[in-house]
Amino acid sequence: MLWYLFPLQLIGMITVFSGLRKFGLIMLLLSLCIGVISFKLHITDALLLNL
Amino acid sequence: MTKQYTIKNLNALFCLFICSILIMAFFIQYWLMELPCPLCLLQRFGLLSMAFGFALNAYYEPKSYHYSLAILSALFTAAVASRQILLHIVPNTGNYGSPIFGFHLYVWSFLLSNVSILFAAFLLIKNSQFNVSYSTPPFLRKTYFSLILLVILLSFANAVTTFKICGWHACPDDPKHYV
Repeated sequence: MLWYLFPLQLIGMITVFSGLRKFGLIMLLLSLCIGVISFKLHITDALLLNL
Repeated sequence: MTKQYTIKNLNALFCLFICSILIMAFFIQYWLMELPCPLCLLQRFGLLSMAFGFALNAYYEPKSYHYSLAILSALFTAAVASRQILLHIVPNTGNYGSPIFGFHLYVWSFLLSNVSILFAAFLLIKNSQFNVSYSTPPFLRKTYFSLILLVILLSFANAVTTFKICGWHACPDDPKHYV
């Protein structure tokens, strides 16, 4: 389930560029956090499959 | 003027370097038909955030939070890339994709993210960059603007291709065709 990552990033980038710089940066950091969660889920799934 | 814009130009050049690697990844995806795995997509995501951090330093003025975005994204990319390296580190456990100049793309991604952290650390040595008021000449402003547009365009292209590979479902571990 990674289809939502790039649109989130894109929204963050456009928000930064439209003038709401700090809000957009927070959105970008949020999308990065979601990326970390996705990565964590990927590792957990792999570990569960191996058990 | 040259000295004043050295930091901005270095940021812009590094952003262009990251973008060229992402364009190359697209070239491999469409020309060699090697579709990206979920970990590859996460690395692309991190690289794009990194490029955007450097592009913001170039287009606006260098700020500590632009650098922090680039460094955090680089750390994320390095973590994902090292996970993929470790998956294939044992001999005869296979690999993913074709090697480029002797290394696979995830190894390059790991090296690039580490180089980015080093690069940002070296740029941060110059503290005066945060106190200068920049009056960017129009030709440079247009160049930096096109750089930001390139990053946004690459993010859009990745959003479309990721949707083409995964659809609304979980991404396949070893994708062979588009949905």
